[in-house]
Amino acid sequence: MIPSLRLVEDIPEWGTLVALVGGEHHGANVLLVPATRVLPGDTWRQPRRPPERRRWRLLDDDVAARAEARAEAMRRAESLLESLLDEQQRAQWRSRREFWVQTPFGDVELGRISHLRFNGVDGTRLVLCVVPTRYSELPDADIWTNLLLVLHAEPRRFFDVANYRTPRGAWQTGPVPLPAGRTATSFATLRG
Amino acid sequence: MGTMRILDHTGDTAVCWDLDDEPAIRAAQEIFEREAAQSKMAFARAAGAPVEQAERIRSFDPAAEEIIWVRPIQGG
Repeated sequence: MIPSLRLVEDIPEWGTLVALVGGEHHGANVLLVPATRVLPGDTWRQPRRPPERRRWRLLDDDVAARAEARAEAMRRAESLLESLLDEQQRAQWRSRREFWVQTPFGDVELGRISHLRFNGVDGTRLVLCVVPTRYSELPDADIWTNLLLVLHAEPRRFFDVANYRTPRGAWQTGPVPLPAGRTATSFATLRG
Repeated sequence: MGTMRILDHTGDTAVCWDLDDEPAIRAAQEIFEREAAQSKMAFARAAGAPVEQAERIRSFDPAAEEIIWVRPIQGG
């Protein structure tokens, strides 16, 4: 037999006292309590703000912290790069985020990934693509610091690994065909 | 004081030592060797000097004012 409930008393702040009618526990009194008072976390005392809102606020804080860290990384990278550039290069970098670097084989423009212009000493015009390993982890300015130092110290290595193309041609893998007759040593002498 | 700057996602991580601080020099030397083992390239320069004055180095020099570590390069 399915018991029914008979209202005995409504108790403010507590719940409703009822008596079971019929069934195995006929005559027993039961206090019915609102679910919000007995669910885990005592939810009726929680602020009325939906939990999703709090989660979003935490995410917003995280995003803001990451943005600040990224901005600081960019400041450090910019400062290091600019300290390595000469006045002319620094002016180029500040005005258009690119700068030219002289090498024994011609001038290379750093500043655009996958689009490094190369003006060879023999008039050759090529577009090069060279990057540091795992470059996407680095702030932009660090990428150019990396390439600038390698290009300065070991230009041959730079051109050996570069992929290249003519301005309207298809990409080819390195080494880049270089003008003959110049060496890093002779270039250093020329610049000196 | 010498500083080693290792390019990374924070811009760079700096490792510093004083010439009279032997443990700090040893720690810097170990880091130098660890970075070299990853085929990275080290350049020494006087602090703030332009790239023309940066010199490729292959062993740790405690007297270097600043050492900059860069990554190996590849075709993109």
